[in-house]
Amino acid sequence: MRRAWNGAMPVTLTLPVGLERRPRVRQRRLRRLTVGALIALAVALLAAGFWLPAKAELAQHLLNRAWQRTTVGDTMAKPWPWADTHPVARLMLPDSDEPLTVLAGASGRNLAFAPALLDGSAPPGVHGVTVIAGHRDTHFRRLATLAVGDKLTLERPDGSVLTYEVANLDVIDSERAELRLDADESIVVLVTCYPFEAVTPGGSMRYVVTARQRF
Amino acid sequence: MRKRKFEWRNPLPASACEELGVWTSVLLALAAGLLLYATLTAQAARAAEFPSDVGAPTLLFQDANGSYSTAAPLETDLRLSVAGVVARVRVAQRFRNTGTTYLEAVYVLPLPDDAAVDRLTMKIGERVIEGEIHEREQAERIYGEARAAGQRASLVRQTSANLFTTAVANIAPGEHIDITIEYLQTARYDAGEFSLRMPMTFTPRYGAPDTPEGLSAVTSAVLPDSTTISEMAAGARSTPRNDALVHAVLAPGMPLEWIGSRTHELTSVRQQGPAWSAARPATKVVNGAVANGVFEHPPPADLYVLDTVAPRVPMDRDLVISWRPQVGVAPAVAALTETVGDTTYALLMILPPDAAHFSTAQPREQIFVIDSSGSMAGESMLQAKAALKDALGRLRGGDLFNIVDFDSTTNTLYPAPRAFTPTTHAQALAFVDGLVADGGTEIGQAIAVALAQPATAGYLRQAIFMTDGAVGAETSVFDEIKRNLRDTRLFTIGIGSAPNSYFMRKAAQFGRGTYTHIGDTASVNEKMTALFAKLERVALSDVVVDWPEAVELYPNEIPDVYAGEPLVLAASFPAAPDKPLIATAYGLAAGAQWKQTVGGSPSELPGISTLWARRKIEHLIDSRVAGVDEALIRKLVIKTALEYHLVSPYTSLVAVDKTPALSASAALQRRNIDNTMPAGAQWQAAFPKTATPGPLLRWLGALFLIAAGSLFVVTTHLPRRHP
Repeated sequence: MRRAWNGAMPVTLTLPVGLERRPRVRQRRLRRLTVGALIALAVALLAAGFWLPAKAELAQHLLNRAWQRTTVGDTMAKPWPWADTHPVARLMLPDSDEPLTVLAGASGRNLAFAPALLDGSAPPGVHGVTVIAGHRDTHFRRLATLAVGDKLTLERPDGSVLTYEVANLDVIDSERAELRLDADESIVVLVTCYPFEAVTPGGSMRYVVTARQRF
Repeated sequence: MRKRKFEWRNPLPASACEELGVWTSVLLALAAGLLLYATLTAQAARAAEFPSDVGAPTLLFQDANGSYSTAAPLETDLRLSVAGVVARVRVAQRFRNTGTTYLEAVYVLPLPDDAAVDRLTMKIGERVIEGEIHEREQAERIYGEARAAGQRASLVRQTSANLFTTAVANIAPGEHIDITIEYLQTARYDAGEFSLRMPMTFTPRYGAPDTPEGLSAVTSAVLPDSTTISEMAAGARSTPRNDALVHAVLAPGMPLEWIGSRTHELTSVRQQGPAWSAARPATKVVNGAVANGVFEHPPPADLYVLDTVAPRVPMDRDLVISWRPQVGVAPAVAALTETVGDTTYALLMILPPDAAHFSTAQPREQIFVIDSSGSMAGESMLQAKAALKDALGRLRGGDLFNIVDFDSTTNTLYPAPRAFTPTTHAQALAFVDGLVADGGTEIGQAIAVALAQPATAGYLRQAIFMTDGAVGAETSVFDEIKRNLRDTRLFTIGIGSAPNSYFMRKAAQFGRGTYTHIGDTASVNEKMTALFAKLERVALSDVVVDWPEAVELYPNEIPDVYAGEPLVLAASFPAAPDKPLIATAYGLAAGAQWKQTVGGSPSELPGISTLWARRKIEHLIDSRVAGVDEALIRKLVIKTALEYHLVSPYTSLVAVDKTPALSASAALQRRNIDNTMPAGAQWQAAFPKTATPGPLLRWLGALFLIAAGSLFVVTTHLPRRHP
């Protein structure tokens, strides 16, 4: 072990630029600065990393208030004054105690706050396919535990609650697939990224839950 | 930990310690980078390998039926022979098993809505097995028994008017089976141009499938429910890219001005001289350059050979081959005959007199019906909006109009039709701009609303219907049209790259109007000009044909004829070898008597009898809308179909290879082969991004924290203790 260290430390070692031997005091200051910078960077990254799920959680509370206004007839209720979207439904997944408010338009910005209804897909309860997308690491993390036969519910602005039963769970490559929007019954399709535990965003795989309305 | 410290303590001088510290953090940073890289590539690899390999069942989610929707691309070889207006098309498809288990493949094959399917062959290696026509239940029993016995077998079944299902059982691992289906169809003539449309895929249907089950209460035990159309339309599926090879030989029988395809790039080669002879010095041009003078004066016996430019073309849109005769050479009346045994069959085409000779001053009342359902999203909706705006622009002061928009529900622009003024025009345009394609296709309700609009006396009443026809329950819609039509004439406009043209044609037939297909946004104006020429008035009505013998004629009731479109009649009568067919047609054109006489000429391609039988079957099936007893329809259709070897709602073609391929006990896997999505459908882009960078940021943060910590420990802590 010792010998190995000695051997691995030849005098001819060249250090990266900026890390050459300097007078001891200056060197120490440089180290401290480096450590400080690394810590600052780490804190910033961690803050950003934890802020995203926190924002997703917080937004749901704000959206609850907008939903209350929606149910009393303000169908275009904005959750905050500068928003360009509005709640369209509330989604209750099995084994969860708090319903998720669903926004109109599955844009990246909306998805940061809530699951969102894809433009062009059918409103809940109407014959056709209702596509709701959500982030795999926040709102739709729970989809991983869904099983065929599970029941989920959608609450519409008029207060009616529709029940759906999970019929299919699919993993689909979004670059080679499409969502079909026509159906002769009311179908809800929940879309999120796959695999659930992946670290980097932007993968092409999607986890698709298909549920049929049950009466 | 202690031991480590002990090791580091003595032998290294302080400077080395510091160096070690720096290098540790550099290495740590490197390790962090490597770790990140590994995560990324692992994820990419996972994404790449997942869907193509069905041999990894752990990663696959099967649906309730235990089947999964993987895409085994299909090779299709399309060959056409055309003589005059009769075309025989051969669709050869290679079902390849790349897996490790025996496979049963199921494919939905879209065919032209008037296709007369009369031949099935199955080729295994060098052996060719000819398909036999049987009653549907019997054919399915034969197929089912062969499948259970491990024999290679194939079945062609009609699932709806223009959708067929091909099933191939017991394809051995690493082997392929070639299935060839042949059908006859007639070229369509409209506005001076002949065309043949060959569907390559279909727009998923909305509504309960209009299978013969609804008619005869026959359920199929052989093919699974998952091959029904409504099932395929729901949810998400992966899209394969099925490719096709096209080769066509045309003997148009008249000098041409143009030949080619507006949907696919085709080369055309003209071969001079007697038809069907060997290759001769030929001129090769690409897609329609005939008009550039290359084929200025071809002799009538010329032959044209068309091929795809690219070796294979994607099957994401219908293939249309068109040819335009030189002006004035297309006869006003033509009759092709074929004698089989003691019966002669004739196909009679009557062209109405030119529409340019008369115009009308009669004001119109037009109800536009536009489909804004989810299947229209994307290019189709743009086409429909463009067509509707074009139509609005063609209205004249004094005309009345209204717009009915439907998806799951029906909206109207006005409660009742209003006069066309600049104000209402602007309101209508705003209404059209506001249309969004979503929801289902409740077509019946829309038709009811359109036809129930209060009519005004003295106006030509026309309903113009724009849809992709993604409708399953077609019969009930036809019934709705027939019952509520009264004085309205219904014109259909097919939208999108693969509309349900059977629905369009029949809806127009029951609505006593015509069908126009708009393939792409660029041809909206041209197609709408042609349609509005027809909307002016009926070109030829009260047609009566005088035949030398008593004939069995289809269609029974001769419809009105619109400008630019021919009337096609199929007749059969006792053969009289010494007496050539001479028929005379009478009618009313622009209020005046019209008369044409034609002599029959034998068809170069056999099949007039088959085409006649196909029209007879269509007539029989249509009669259910008129309330004819279904048991009787079934009996008559089966009799005709068996006699003429035709696939129908009640008869299927089945081919069985007697040599067993697989021991009966071995498991057979079933796989549905998906159709390519129609081009322009918006859904491909519909998957949103559904992951946040949160986990990545947290990971990186943690790594930097570790790097900082180790740098701190090594460089600050250690040297201070040991100066």
